Amino acid sequence: MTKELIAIKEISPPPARRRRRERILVALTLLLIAVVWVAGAVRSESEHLPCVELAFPGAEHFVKEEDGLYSAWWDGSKPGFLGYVAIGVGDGYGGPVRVAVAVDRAGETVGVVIAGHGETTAWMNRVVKSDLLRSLIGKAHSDPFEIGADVDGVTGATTTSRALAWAVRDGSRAAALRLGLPVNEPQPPKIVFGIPEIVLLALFAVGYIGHQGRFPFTRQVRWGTMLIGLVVLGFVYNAPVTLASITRLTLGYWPQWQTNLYWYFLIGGILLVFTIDNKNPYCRWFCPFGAAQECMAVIGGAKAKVSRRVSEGLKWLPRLLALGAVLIGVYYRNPGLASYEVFGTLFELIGSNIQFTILGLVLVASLFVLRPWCNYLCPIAPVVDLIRVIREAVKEPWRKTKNDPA
Amino acid sequence: MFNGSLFWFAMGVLFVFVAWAFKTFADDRGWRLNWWKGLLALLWYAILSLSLYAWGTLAGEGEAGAGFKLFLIGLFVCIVFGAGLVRLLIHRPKTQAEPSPQ
Amino acid sequence: MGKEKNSSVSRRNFLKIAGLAGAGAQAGAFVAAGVAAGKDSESYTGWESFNPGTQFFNRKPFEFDGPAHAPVGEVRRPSHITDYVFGRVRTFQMAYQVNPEWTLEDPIEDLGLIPELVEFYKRFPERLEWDFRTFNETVPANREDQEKYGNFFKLAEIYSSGFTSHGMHLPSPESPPEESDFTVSMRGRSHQLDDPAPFKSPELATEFFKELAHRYGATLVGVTRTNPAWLYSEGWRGCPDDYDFSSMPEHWEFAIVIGVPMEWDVILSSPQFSTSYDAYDRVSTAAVRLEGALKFAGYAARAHTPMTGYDLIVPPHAVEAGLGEVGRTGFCITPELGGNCRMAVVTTNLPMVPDRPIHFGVAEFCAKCKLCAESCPSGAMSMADSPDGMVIRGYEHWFINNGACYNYWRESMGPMGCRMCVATCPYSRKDNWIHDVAREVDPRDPTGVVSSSLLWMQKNLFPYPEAEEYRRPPTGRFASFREPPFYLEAERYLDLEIVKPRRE
Repeated sequence: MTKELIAIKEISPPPARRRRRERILVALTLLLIAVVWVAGAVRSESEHLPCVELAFPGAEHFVKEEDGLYSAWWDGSKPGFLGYVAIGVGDGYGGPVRVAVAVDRAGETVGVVIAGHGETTAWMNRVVKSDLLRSLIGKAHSDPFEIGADVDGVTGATTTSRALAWAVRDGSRAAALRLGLPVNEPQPPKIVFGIPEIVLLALFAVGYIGHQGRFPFTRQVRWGTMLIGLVVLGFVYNAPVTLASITRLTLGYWPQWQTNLYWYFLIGGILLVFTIDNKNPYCRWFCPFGAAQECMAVIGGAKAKVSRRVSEGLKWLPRLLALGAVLIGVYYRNPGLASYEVFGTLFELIGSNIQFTILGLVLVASLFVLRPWCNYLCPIAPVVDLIRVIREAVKEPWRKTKNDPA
Repeated sequence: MFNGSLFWFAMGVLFVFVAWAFKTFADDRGWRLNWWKGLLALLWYAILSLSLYAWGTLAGEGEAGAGFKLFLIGLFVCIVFGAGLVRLLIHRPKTQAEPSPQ
Repeated sequence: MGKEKNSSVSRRNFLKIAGLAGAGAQAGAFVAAGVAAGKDSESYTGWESFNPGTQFFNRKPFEFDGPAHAPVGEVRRPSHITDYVFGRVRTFQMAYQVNPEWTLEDPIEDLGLIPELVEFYKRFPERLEWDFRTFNETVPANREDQEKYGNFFKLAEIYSSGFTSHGMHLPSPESPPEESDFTVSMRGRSHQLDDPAPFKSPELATEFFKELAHRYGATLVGVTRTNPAWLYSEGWRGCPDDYDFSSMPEHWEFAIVIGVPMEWDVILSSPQFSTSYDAYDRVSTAAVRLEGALKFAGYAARAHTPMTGYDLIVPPHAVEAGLGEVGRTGFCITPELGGNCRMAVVTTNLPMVPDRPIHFGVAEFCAKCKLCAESCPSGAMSMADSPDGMVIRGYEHWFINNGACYNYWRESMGPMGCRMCVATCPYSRKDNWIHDVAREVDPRDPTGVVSSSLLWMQKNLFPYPEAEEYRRPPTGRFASFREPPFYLEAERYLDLEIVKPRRE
């Protein structure tokens, strides 16, 4: 292993002209994202009415009330108030999951229709195909709606299942409140802190020790953290950093901290170490997909031999891909929509034919070329580069004022 | 015709030829083929053959698409396994007389 | 240098000796292979599958002491009036024809149905809705669809009719069991049974009649004791309405269960091109032959078959006889045939040795698989992981809404029925090496890794149409699971105007 990999090198400041060009590009990128953000906001103002109408069986006539609920009525021939449809919101993997929940006068859920989500397509398909939505119909507003208790989750899609269940609970309670039915105070969510969270913190800690300059066993430690990352964060929990987790940051979809400590530790931890130390603790140390590629490299004897000019040029491919994916996710308010990563395809064997083909090609390539996904396709690397440029731009005036003996 | 007893008899004979040819090929290249390296090469060939046979069987059953995908999985395994195998076969143990290749 | 020469010499010796041993082993193997080639059932032209070799799965390692199907609640015997869907729907329809203003909102009592049926519909209100929809909407719509698309499926119906027209001629008992089971009919004359043939032991008797059963056309054969809880509570063939149905006739002590698969390419083209009648006719024929042989040997016998009627329900007897296990579909899943097994029973008083039930991993597989439930065109099947809490007539198994199920039988084209769950079940596969490896390895893996991998391959490598594509247009396009075999393609053979169903 060459030194390039084990020492996370301090990026030395590039020549001034290149630096200025970088900063202009970053500024343009941020501007573009902001523009698309606004355009997306205009788009999503559209009514949820089609979903609302589908949700209530038998109702022909709907009236949107001031508080955002929709009241449902029979058609003209049979006048009568049937109940309410509320748009419930739950916290999914890629942001809020919205469900139109139809509730009858007794507070019973009679229909559910998904009105919006940010989940990865393959995972949402799994949940939709299962019995989950059907099982939520007929529940009372006072039910707990807890996965594993009164609701069966879908294997391999726990977060999405939970988001849907809680969205329906949210909507069901909102409607029940409006109906004047007794509604308990919602229980504060239980704090989730288990094996994935502990392992993640341990990996950060060990990685920190490992990449101190003088540490003698860096190579072994790095392989240790990589393999643990591969097994635990990869195959067991399928929880690597994905573009969706970052896109939802841009959209302001911060998840509930009690049940998403892992996300906060992961994203927060990486950003924190990067801001303070200018080192990337994740990619070369415990990213499970990177580890998988390095295992392939051991089998096939991969060498990092690509000419400088080629690798400079190819840097733009992942940047454009990442930008495109972020823009699509921001515009449609759906972080999971343009997730083109193949991590889940490897760790859970779920994906489309295209994703499996890409995965196969990447793994075969990583026999002969070192970390091909990381170097030529991964969207996380451009995001890290972007943050680095911003960090440099911010730090510079601060450094100047510090050195300036004014 | 492609399934009877005589067919498999002929396949057995063919296999002996393939193995003999492989040994000759290895000798020409200067590969030091011992019994367990030979066994691994045999395993590799078996996986490849089985993948092809599975593709054909499923295609015969009317599931050609599934068969092809199964073959691709087998092929992927063979590529990964093969890359490691080639390195293993080429690798020459360092002796006093031979300088280590850099 | 000397050492190397020694080891190379001993290596050469080793190779020579090993080679010789190999040649010796091959010599023995060739003889054995020759014997196998000589005995091979494939060489029995015309009788290739009429032998016990069709029951190729070795059940011994999976047997356990029964009962396999123990009740968890109060047991109720099945009823022709309520549980049996054809009779029930017809009764309901006839009552509705007399009261055409009745709607689903009105109380069920207004229809004047018998009290058992009223109570049944109150217990299962969703079946009331489905049964009503069947004769009120689905059957009339199906008549229109037949006008439009019928030609596309005509050859499938012709194929099926050959079997139906034969099966309908099979004799049904015309007098109560104590008479008809003891009467032999031959060349238009009936007489009482001869003295029973004295078999040396029940084991040998069982072996003999199993050999016969295979020659009579049975693919699978098993023996168990007839269970009185699984007899219909009324309506036995040949019996008057006031017959005493409360106790089982003594001479029904043993039940020989036989099974026959539907044609493999035809069943995969479910639901529109497939038929139940190819297997119905073959299994009923085999059962009637077996009944005749038993009677001729001097033993009372009665066949319960799809074509001649049943006085008992077959699947639980099949499970007790070790033919297979109950799965999500509610019928018996067998190792050789999967769900593709239509069955019949011959009850007899011949002293026999019952087989033991088997456990080969079906329930565990069904818990993860759910392919049948996902593909069911009418959503009649449960998606729950386990059947806990689903109790029907005292027995626990996955819930099937047979009103919804029957409804789609009347909606589909081609020969009546659906059979999607049979076609999609991963166990319903032919006997080639790929499926045989799965059959043998999966039940022997205690970790479930093999079944999970097989299931992953099944779901990701093989295409599965969406359930609604099987529905009638415009919801669906009368899709079939797989294309029909070439000999059922109407466009190939018929000079007719053929309209292929499409989503409009």
